[in-house]
Amino acid sequence: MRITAAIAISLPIALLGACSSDGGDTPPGLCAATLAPGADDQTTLQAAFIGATTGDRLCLRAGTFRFTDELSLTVHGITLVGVEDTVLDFAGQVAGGNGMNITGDDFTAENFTLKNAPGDGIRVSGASNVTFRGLDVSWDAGSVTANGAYAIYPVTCEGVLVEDCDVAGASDAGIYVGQSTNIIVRNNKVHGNVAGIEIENSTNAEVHDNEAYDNTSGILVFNLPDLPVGDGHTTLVHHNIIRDNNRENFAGGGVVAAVPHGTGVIILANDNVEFRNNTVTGNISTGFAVASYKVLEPNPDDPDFDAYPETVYVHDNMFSDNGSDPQGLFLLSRTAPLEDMIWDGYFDANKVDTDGSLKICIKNNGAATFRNVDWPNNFATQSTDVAPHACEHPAIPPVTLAF
Amino acid sequence: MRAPRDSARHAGVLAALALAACAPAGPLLPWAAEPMPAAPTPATGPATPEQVELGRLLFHDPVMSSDRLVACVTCHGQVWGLSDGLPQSIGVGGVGPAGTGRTGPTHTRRNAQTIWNAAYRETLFHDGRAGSLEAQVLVPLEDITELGRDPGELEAELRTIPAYVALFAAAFPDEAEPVSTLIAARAIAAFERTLLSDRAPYDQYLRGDERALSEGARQGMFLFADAGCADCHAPPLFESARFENVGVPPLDGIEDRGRAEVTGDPADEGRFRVPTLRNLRETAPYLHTGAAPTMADAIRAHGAALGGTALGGAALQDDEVDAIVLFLSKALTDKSREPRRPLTVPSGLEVPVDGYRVPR
Repeated sequence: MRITAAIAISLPIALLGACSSDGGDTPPGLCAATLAPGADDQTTLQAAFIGATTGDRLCLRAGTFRFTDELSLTVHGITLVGVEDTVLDFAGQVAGGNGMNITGDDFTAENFTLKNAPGDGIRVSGASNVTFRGLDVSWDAGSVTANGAYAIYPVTCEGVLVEDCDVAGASDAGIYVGQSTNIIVRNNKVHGNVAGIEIENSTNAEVHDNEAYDNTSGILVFNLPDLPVGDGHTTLVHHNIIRDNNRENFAGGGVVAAVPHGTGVIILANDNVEFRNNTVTGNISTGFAVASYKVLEPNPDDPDFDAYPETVYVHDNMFSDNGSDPQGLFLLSRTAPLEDMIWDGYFDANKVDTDGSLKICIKNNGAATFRNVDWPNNFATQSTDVAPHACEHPAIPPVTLAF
Repeated sequence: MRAPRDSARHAGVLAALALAACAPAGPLLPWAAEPMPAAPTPATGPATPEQVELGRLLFHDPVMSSDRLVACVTCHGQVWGLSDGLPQSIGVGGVGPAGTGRTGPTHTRRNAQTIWNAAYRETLFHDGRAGSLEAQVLVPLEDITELGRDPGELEAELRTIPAYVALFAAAFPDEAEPVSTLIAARAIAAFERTLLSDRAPYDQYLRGDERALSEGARQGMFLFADAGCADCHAPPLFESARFENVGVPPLDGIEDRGRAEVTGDPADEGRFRVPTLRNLRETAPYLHTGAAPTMADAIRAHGAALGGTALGGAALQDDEVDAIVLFLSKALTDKSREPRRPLTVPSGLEVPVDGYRVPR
């Protein structure tokens, strides 16, 4: 208590001297250091990251910073903030797997453009309380396989906020949150990626008020085996616009390479997902697919892995113009056009679900259509009857972050 | 019932922390402040960038294995904290990507050690049988449960790969015959010496940034010291070149005499080298048997035999274990020099898959 008080009093005084204000070129507010583009941006920023003190706000002036290597940051409590015309360009990067590699807690990246990362854009791993706000992440080449896999990439984190970002061109997922807990992804625009937003092996996530368009697939909620953290669950997806995600898949590999283009949303093997009040339109394969991991691998090796999506609740959404021209794996159903919502028909025969709490529930989606493609029986007995899914699950509460 | 005991047990820590707010100098530590030393320079002198790059490629290249699927990185992968996520490692003949899903017909006797900060070690392996990184590299190369590769055959094959011939020549220009298994081991050792973890929040704290450690992590640090952990896992490296027996039960069907296999000394029976705790959080499962799934399990597995990890004569309570885990996982993590995986390697073989983008 006394430590905190002492810092609270002394810090602003110490920082005031470092603060400058010259128009729109420099972020407003207190800056522990203000960095400008120069001859050796790599050294400038990396040195600032190494020399930073916990709680420092590092300000980036307008202009283009150019990097040849990964930038890494291990210090806690760092805020990295730019202005509208601050660009971090990794086109010349020859080493390192990410543009930025962060392990410090309480990290905030705010208000700058990051582009042309040959690997991932910003990776934050093992940290608590991470914020990405107002970032533009893209690649000048457009949507090509050579682009980095993930643009915004928190993994094994606790407390993640991604808001007001614009992400385009990732060859895997634009906004990817993996193996993390307590997550909000809101008010972002994702387009021209393979997956717009992916929540993978994560727990307690809320994805809302995003716009996902022109991706291969708009929003993915996945559980995959053989990862250090498994068994993700509890994801609330609401008030998103998921439209025209019909871009041909340009992934270099991995699970997303199997995602058919034209798929609005895929829930894969994840449990307790509520999908409500979304607008899903113009996705040519289907608007919303619920699938078991078995469609990718009939017998996953991981004995602890639950391959089945359970407790999925889809209600009060607006679906239109989906499924006009099914692609990829959807062609196995030998049905075209396809419906707005597709279920593969897999469920865990070893579980007794007397109260229906594990079911896929579908309710009040207007004129939206549905098909069970009966994948387990080689698509023999398909059904468009949604009546077996007339049920409800308890609402998932919005996520509250502790920061 | 627990509260009074807790507060009594933590009183020293809290009083010390409170005092620190008034004290003018230095971060508060339960031990003498000592920054990370520079890593020792090997007998062969400092490495060149060409040697490190050659080592990185060899490290990721399945040309090193008899089944042409396994490389060093299979058991020392980035996603698994430069270990492999398995209780015992599965080398040649194994199926599946590196990591917890991997299965195979054979496995090693012991848990794969992380190679973070291997540069600091002068005794390697759990039993300390190798005296240098260069010597260490050759052991898994030939071990039939690991890479299973004949050194002579490896050498012959490397000489047929033009890209390697050029890389070896550029990295070791003074050698009359640069392409050899021994020189490959030197290159891999040079690469491993770049895998330093010395910029963790603990190091930041040591430099005077008091907020680098949260209050919880600081409490964990003091408990770590009070419980005697630091006697062996000695800061700043959080390891030591000592061999100890902390009472980890042997695995069924696996004979393992530990250090005694090297020294022949009965006193060394069941003793193993004290491993580093830096970057520990991703290297589960723990202990030389891999029998502890979590850090908390590993802490509790120390104990009776040591008589040291108990606090005030009683076993650590859950919240105390949690605090130590918090310290270890938050304060001692620095992956800023994590090696990057090459997309391709000179042999043309496929780099073993690992991590979050596992192709299936």
